[in-house]
Amino acid sequence: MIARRVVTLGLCASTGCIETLGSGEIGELRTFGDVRGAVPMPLTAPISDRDGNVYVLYGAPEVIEVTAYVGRAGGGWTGGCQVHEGTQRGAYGWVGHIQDRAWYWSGDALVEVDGTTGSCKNLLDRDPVSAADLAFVAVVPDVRETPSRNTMVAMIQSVTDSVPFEVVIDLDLGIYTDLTRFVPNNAVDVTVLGSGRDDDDDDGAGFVLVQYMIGDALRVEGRFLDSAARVSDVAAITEYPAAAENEPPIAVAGFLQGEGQGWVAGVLENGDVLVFDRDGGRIRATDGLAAVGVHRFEGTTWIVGEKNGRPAIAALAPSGDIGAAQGWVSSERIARRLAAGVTVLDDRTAPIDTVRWSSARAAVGASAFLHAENPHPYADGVTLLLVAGPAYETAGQSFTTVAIAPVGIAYP
Amino acid sequence: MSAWMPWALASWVFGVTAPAPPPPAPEPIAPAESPTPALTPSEPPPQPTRVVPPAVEPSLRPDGSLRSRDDNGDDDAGDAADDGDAAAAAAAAAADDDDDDDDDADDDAADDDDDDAPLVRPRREWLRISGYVQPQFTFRVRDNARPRDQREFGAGATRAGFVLSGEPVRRWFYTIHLVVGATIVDTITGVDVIDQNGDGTVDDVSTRSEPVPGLFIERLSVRYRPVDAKRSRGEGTLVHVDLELGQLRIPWTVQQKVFNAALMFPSRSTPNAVFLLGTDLGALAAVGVLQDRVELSTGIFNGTGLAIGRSNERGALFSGRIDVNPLGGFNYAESDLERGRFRFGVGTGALFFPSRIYDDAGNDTRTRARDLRVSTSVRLAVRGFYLQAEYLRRQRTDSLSSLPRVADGAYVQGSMFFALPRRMGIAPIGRFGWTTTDQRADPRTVFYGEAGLALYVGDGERPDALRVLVQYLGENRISEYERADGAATQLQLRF
Repeated sequence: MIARRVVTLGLCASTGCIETLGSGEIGELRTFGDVRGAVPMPLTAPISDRDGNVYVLYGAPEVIEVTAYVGRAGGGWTGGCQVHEGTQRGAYGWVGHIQDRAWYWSGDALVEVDGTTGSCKNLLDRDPVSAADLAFVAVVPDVRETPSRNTMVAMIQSVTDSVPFEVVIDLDLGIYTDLTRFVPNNAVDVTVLGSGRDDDDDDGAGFVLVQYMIGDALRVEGRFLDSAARVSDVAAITEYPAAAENEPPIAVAGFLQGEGQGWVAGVLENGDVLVFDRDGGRIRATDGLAAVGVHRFEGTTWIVGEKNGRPAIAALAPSGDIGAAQGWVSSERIARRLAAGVTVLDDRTAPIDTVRWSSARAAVGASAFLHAENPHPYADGVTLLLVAGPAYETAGQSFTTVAIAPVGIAYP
Repeated sequence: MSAWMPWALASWVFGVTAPAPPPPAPEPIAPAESPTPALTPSEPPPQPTRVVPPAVEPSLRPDGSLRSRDDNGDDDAGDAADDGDAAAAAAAAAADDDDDDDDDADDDAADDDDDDAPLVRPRREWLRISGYVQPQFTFRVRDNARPRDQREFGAGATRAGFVLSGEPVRRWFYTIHLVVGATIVDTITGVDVIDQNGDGTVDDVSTRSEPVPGLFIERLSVRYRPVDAKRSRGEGTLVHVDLELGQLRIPWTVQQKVFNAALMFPSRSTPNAVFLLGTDLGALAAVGVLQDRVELSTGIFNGTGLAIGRSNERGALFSGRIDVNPLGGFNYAESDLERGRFRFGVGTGALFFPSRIYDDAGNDTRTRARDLRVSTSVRLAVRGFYLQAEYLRRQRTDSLSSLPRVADGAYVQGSMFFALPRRMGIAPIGRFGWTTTDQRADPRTVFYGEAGLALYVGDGERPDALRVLVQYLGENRISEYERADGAATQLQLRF
């Protein structure tokens, strides 16, 4: 017994016991930049790659600009990548990663960011054959990483195409394969309203929510795509809210999330919650929850938002219904700890230093984790959180110092 | 005295590598179940009266010559003294007489027998050349790959190893093991910038490269044996201590200790390569006790492979391993061609690599990393049957990321050697392995399966002078939805 304890203590002393952060615990905070704006800030949910590099994207659907920052696993920051295309829409967010790279989708562009160097590259900006300008109208946020190649399913369209094409993007070679024209061919004004990944089907890539016109009829459909970019099912969506006149259609905030029993859920920009499966879908009631996004955690899908001014959460039941909302303890615990002040590491330049923020708060959303995108699964029960620190004004613009940290997260 | 006896005597006394002796007197080829090894050479040839008999229950190297049980199957000069090799042992013993009146007490017992030693000053073994050639043809199917890569075949794994070794100074040994492979290393010979839209800005970079055949250093080391205590000459060592410096494989697992040409399959198991790949630069101290019933080693290495001064991660890697072979020394060759008595060994190893991480400008990032790897192993062999299993684990933490890197892996492999007439033998072989990496973040699980048949052709000196191996290769990447199947055939010729 004593020997076993000695061995255990020795291992812990020498290597650190392998314990991840508990719910509400905050890891090392690292400053990555002074970002224009005030809380809540236009930042998408950060992610990390397998090497441990972290990626932060300044941008939002309503902001027509982006800046990508890369925090290296061993310390230090690179980045400043600002590749964006299009004037209609800004950043959707990070759509996947592999060992040492990550990709974000902003406007019409799919951009690769290198975790080692911080450099970025606009993928398939032009058609390799026709040289026509290509737009990524949908990206399924899932990189299929294999020893032989890394691929992603997307929908692309050039200005000369009447409808988009479903394709497999070879992320290493920067080419598309498995080209399939959107069906029906006579569809007009095809608009992608949202996309999401399928975590539960080995051969499934994900889903896209599209609307288009056939004659005078407006159709809204949820489409299921497999890993070869083939449409495996189409679900008709009823009761989809119509957009105001001269306004773009109402899209999904963040990304769609699968449920495990075949359901797919997404929160629309107007706060409605859309749930569909392969047989169809509709808007569901939320028991007073002001939904901001759909998260997936340890096999359960959750609608997150606010209720009575507090962070709240409701599970998506196997029936497709939304359960009763309950308070989100983990979010509130993080908020309290941030409000009490934090110590932040500034490792952007030498000499590396630490500073004390007397008060801090989540940079995105009304409280910690209350954002549209799914929190990145950084480690078991740990995600990445953007934390806003001191704010200041210069040249008539407000700026906020923002840091990132791994934090323990739990869903009730 | 037969015609080759002078060579044997010269070899023993002067350390000269003799040509292969003729096969011993014809003996009946034993059936598989016979207790008499069929593929091993016969008993050592009759010795002059002064020559010390070989160790009790002598075993045979993969090359057929005498050795002790700590041999890893290679042919470096150190094996001579390691192994109680008759020639080198006699030379060393004679050298004791001449050179080391003040030698440590450990040698006294051996020296007691030296009264009748020939008055011949032995020469050191300056150079011994050995090696292997391994042409290999592989065919692999990977259906999810790009069309071009779905069917791969070729002899890309072909390689040859050259081992130069010797003992130019008493108790000082050197080993140079070079591997020349058909593996192509692309060397960049030019860089072009690409401006796709002619706006004067660089859109991409294109590189030109030339394929260069790979040349790898498997071992480049000097070893000193300050202690080599025997109860009596010819017996295995009671205690021996070796100090080695240079480039070598870190003896963290059993497979890391096995000579390339003594592996059961053409290469080490994939789990072993996932946790520790290739060689490193450093120093190693090894102790063998009670005829290698207990083997201990500890070392300090660079930790980042051969990238001295190039990595931003700086530290020293500490290694340790203990092997216990309660029934006697157990050599490190993944087969039982000698079809010997029951042998059994367990062991465990650890690597610890604490490091500091600097940025590209050389500034301390204040990040401290700790990397611990442990392994446990079990081996057994009896009458041609050989079984080896290892479990491996790695956990790496650092002060910055709160991201523990945890990986587990294991493999088990076995073979059954059957003797055939005409100094031939055949052995079905099999191996199953598993790894799960990135367990605390995004687990990646892979299963590996291999099975095949090895045909051995002995030449009287080596039971495995020639090996023809045909095998199935399988890899199932569960988390990545990818599977690969294939076959390989390898010819191995040792010299």
